[in-house]
Amino acid sequence: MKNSWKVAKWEIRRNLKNKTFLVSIFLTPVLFLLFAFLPNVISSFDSGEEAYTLHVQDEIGIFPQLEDSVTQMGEHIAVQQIDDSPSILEEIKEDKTQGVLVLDQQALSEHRVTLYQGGEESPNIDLQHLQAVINHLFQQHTLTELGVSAEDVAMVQREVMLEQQNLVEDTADPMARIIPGAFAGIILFGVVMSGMTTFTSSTQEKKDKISEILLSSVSSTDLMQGKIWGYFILGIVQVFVWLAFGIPTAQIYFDIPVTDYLFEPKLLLLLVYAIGGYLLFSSIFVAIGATLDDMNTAGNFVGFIFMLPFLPLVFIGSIIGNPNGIIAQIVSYIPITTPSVMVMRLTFSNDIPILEIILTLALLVVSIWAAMKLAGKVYRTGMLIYGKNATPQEIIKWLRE
Amino acid sequence: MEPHLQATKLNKYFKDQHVLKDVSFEVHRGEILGIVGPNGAGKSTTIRSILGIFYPDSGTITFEGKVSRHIPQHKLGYLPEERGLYRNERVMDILLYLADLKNYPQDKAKARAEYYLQKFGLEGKEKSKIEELSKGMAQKVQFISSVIHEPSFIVLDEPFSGLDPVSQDVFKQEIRNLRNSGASILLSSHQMNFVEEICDRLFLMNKGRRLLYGTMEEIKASYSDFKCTIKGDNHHLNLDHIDGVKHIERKERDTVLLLEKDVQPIDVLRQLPEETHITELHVDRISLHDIFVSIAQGGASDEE
Repeated sequence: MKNSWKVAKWEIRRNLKNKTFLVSIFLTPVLFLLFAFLPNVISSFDSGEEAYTLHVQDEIGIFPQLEDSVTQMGEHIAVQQIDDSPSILEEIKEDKTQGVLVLDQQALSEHRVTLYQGGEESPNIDLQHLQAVINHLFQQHTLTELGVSAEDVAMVQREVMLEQQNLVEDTADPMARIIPGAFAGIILFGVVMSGMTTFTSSTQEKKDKISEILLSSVSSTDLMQGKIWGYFILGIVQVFVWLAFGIPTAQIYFDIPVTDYLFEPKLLLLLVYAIGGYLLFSSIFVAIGATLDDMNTAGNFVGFIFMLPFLPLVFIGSIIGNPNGIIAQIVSYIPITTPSVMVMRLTFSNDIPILEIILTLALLVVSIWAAMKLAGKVYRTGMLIYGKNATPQEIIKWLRE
Repeated sequence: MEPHLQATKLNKYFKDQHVLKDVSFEVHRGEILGIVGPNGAGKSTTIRSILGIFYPDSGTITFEGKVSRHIPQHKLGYLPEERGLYRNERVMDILLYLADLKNYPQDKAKARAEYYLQKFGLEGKEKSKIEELSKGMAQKVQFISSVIHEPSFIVLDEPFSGLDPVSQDVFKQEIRNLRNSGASILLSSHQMNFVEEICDRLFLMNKGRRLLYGTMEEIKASYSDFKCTIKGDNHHLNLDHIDGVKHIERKERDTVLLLEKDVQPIDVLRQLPEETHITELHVDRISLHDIFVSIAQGGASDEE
């Protein structure tokens, strides 16, 4: 343990002195913000509010009402009445900013209207809304024709409001779930990213050919655990730097009272999952790193291993949609997805059964223990092999030894 | 005298390959034991087994009178054959870290690092990164790293490879100094002249087996004292009848007579047939190099 700490201290110190590491600590949040805001910024340049002209050939007599409703759909939309559609159809054929609507008796009786649109793309207007407007006007016209009074027509055409009223009121503030959840999520992400560097640290030591000296000074277990703890602390440092930017930004810029909600009792549980996830992944990474002599020849296998922590993203939709659903439950019991899935579930639901929490934590602890034990075996042999990458068959053989 | 390290009947298998076969040896306090053998003889496996980098499948290691799985790490100094240090880190940082891993006090480590850097002509390089040093300089730093914590048992694997003659002399002297100050040294090398020069005893292995073991004198005595090299066209000549010749080696135009112990060369030369064609004649003491080559070649027939 003492030796692990020495290794950890060394890894922390050399990284904190390393310019690349320092730059990446500060650059990562900047990049994140950039990626978060860039799409908005770009789309604001290309606002999409291109002017659109809707030509209407009205044989029913609803143009004034239609014009009123359609112009409310957006400032970029202009409505023009025309007498004869065929000539204009030829005119607008290639122009995607124009369309022709023919409202005649046939359309009214069949309740079917065609929008002749220039070009081959969809028009830059809300078609559903347009459909609703026409529908409303057709109904109004038909009812009036049938002799229903204007008041009665208005009465019939009132929109129904559907309201939801939960029988059990959710008294808890959703912020109290989401903020600790987001916090744990950031920590999980940060330390797992840092855990990936244990991989590079292993391959670098092999490349520098120093592993034999180290292994004559400390046991392979101490060396491996030292790396795991060292990069854990580096990951935490990294996360705290991010939060030092993030919390004030959220608090001041977005007016989210982060600190009021952060220190919920649930945070502790969330952090246990996050740390568990780190230990699991970093032991996998550190061991895989020890089997490789050269990153460049590592092949797809490593790419796949690096994807592992992001596997739960596949299920993110169904977990948020139904935190206690069958999919969420199943992936809670697959060790590599347990940490992040449980963090998500605890964030989006208040009633995860205690039994599930206990079972998943137990599973996580057992998985970490097994991963570390197996990683230790691979690491011990892998670090001493020079000049070639270990084959999967060899790795399996070391695991059996 | 109780040996500092005693390895008894070490066996090691890699897959189905039997790479160490009942290897036994002792290293006494304050001596340099040379471990030599051709490539693939099992030297590195023997070394790694006593260092605890991996464990032998059977056999025992006794260190300072106690049976243990390997030499206690803080008492061990190791210079591996595969040279390397953190390339992006500074000399002093690396030395202090490696000393720290051996539980050696940092202030003493710093003083010793400075002492050795100066001794090896590396003063002022404390803050240089390894990648900024020449290969020879890096090798000196590595040597320092293996002795900085005052180990009582030092394993040096090919300490002279890649060094210029001046540095080789510096290393030789330093290895002797360490021995004289009481450290036990196990030295593996292919360079027989160095081994012959500085080792007190020798342990020659091939194909995972111990072939020769003893002091330099004992080994030379067990082989032969003199050799006569006759250059000339003599391959048709029958020399088997000559007394006092232990072994005859023929290669192209050379005929080498390895003499039995205590036989004087002149007695052998007198027995050469009249028709012996001599363009050159050399009479030499046998060198360790000859013994090594002879064993390595002889060992080939030993293949399993």
